[in-house]
Amino acid sequence: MRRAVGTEFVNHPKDLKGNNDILVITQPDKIIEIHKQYLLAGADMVETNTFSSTSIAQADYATEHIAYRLNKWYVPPSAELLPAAERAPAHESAHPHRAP
Amino acid sequence: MLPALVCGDAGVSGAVDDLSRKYAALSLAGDAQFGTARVQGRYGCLARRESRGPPRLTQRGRRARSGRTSSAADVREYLNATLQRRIMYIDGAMGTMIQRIRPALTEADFRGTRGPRSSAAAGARLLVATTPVLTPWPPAALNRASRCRHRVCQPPQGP
Repeated sequence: MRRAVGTEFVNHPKDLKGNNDILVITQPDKIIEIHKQYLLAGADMVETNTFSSTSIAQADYATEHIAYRLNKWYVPPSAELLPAAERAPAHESAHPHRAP
Repeated sequence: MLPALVCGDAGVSGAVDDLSRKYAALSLAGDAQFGTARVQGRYGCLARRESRGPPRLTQRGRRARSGRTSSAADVREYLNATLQRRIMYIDGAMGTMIQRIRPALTEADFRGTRGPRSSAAAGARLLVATTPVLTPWPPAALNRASRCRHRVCQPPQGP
């Protein structure tokens, strides 16, 4: 029995707008894109999108039951998956976070 | 530049959280950018942006930087070596990035009413963008509800 990703909350009883953490389930593309932007800009690390992925914070949206999954699912993309040409230069450069 | 470490996997995220806390004192960023700010790190290493010479990376550190691995020890070593040379900081800034998405996300977007709806499409994209080696969590489990039996992990009753 499989549940389609992204359809689980279509009929959720409470508004979900503002629940940014749930986007890893309903709009994974958007989150991936943001993380890619960070990596392209030369970020050393990216964090999971789990700032409010606690049962307490999720209770605002009546989605505390997914707190576990929010923390477990999403793995941010990592730099080596980007085409080499797109990656920021090595951090030994004088201004590691500035484009050449 | 570097290996994005970090992931939701319990084994690694614990270590990363730990590192985040250790280096939280380094998150001053702005002011230090043009100055010669010195930051005393947890291990007594001096992070100075103007310092010269490449950071000394051990073999493990090089592996971490190449992004081929992400063990907690590798990450720790990478952070240590990099912090000898420059200031690093952690600031998610995720909320503002999400607000910047155009067209702005609507209630329907948050619900997943629009956008990638099929599990195949979303799952494939997730797989492409993530590194399966970082997590033992099988992709198929992405579609599975939490097995946790705790009360708060159960879906709400009613409409």
